[in-house]
Amino acid sequence: MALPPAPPQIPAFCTGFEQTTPAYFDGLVQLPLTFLAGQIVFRAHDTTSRSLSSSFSVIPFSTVDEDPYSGWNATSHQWLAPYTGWYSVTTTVSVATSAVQLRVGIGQSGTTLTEGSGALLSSATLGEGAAAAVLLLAGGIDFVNTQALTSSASTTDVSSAGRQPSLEITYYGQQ
Amino acid sequence: MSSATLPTPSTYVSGPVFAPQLRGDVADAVAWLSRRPMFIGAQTASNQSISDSSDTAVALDTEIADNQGGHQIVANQARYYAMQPGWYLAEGICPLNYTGGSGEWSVGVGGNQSGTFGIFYGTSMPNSSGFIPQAMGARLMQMVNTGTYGSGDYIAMYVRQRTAVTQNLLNGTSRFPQLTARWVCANSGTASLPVPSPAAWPSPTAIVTSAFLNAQVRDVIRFLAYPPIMEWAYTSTGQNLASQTAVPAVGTTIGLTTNTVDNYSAFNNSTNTWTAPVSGLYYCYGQVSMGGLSTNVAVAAGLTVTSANYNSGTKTTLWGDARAGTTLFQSSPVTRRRLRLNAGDTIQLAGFQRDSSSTTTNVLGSGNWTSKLITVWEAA
Repeated sequence: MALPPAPPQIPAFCTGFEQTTPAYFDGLVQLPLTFLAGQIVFRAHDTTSRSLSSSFSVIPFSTVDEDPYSGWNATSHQWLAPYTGWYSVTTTVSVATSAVQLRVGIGQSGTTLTEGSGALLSSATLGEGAAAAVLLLAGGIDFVNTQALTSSASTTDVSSAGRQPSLEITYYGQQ
Repeated sequence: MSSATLPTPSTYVSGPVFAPQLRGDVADAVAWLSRRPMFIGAQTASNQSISDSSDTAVALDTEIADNQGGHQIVANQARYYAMQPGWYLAEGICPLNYTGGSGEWSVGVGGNQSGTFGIFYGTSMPNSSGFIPQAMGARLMQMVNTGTYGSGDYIAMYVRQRTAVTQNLLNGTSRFPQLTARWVCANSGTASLPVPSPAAWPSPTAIVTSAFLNAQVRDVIRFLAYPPIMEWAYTSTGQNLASQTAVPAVGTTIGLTTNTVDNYSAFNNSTNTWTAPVSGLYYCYGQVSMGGLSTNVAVAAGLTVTSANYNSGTKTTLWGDARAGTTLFQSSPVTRRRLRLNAGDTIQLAGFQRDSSSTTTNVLGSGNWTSKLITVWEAA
């Protein structure tokens, strides 16, 4: 299967000579526009309940919904950015319990964590939910993952499609 | 810094096509669409003081990205001035360095659109003892008066806290104030074009026709410069949200009354349903603002999706923030996803609240708090 296109260079249409092969124009027109329409995307969700503790842990998503650039590592539970650029990332995590602090963040290459909105709920009848989103610069060595913690032991809520953890990424543009 | 301008591809007619025309159409469009205007600013060098009950713009002393030079550290730190016209998706997130249990915390986005100032808050959440509140908000903002730093339309993050005394923002390693603004759509363009799937160029003896160029160059670029975006909000009164004991599989639909932008006319405000006009991956944001109740204990916002890609096609609500409600002021949970949708799939804004006295609350539709639904096409 052919690899999806790379982020394009600005096409150089030269004068003074004739280039009439279809491949020439495919490279200058079709491939750049195909990339810009399709971008780089990744989506995953988790159908297995995971234990959370007071330290951030990586969510090992069980189901990859789409990953055309094959960036997902099912062992380390991280997505490798195939090309350097700006990526927009959203993630959600819900827990089955309440009365604990829930914090959700997006990790990058094991060194950076950007947290989203946290949740704290005193009601014992509703599990909490929290989400994070970040626009980050990532390159060919950068991994992206979802991390979460709860102030005391808890488990993620996967009881319905509407509560399952998710990680979604789209490429926004070049550096 | 990018110097490209918004692409306006020409219409091709029969006859020779010369390199300058292809440069102006294809090369300039690739340059623009590869580096669309974007800004990421943060507050990492200071801890700004926030007065009680005051709408305060957050100073951004650190530029993480600014490919158009719309922000400066030396002046107007809170503002990103748009250098290019268009619709921008602005998102702000901000923590308050406060672990007391009184009052509430709100974060939103404001600024000037065509010279008119306005603030709309996103998350409003109660402060809880031992818990750093971090809230976020998003909105689509139309930048019309652009190109000059220090004047014209701008985007800023606003916060409001109610603890009765001044508090500082948190400037931590993983939690710090951050505003992003990214161009998502031109102010005008051609709607109802198909999702681009550029074709290979014909091989001899076939010829490249003007129809081919218009479909594979002009219309592709026009679509990418003017993709489907939508924001509808609730700006009325009289809508209520009943208490429920648990988050349901399908949440209560929130009615929306006001069209901020809907360039593909995809939202039906009779059914309060947005129908995906074309297939693709969509950024989706939902926010439900509701009045506070003294016995309210929980709130949540969700996106009710009917799509073969989710829950085996059975209508379901994808819940986002589920958190404590504000007992004294307004509560405003949000949710944000990227959803893979087919043309014809639908989304509705859903709200949830649980009140220990089973009291119905009102949906807010005035002032700086509204309910809203945003969708932005991002990829085929």
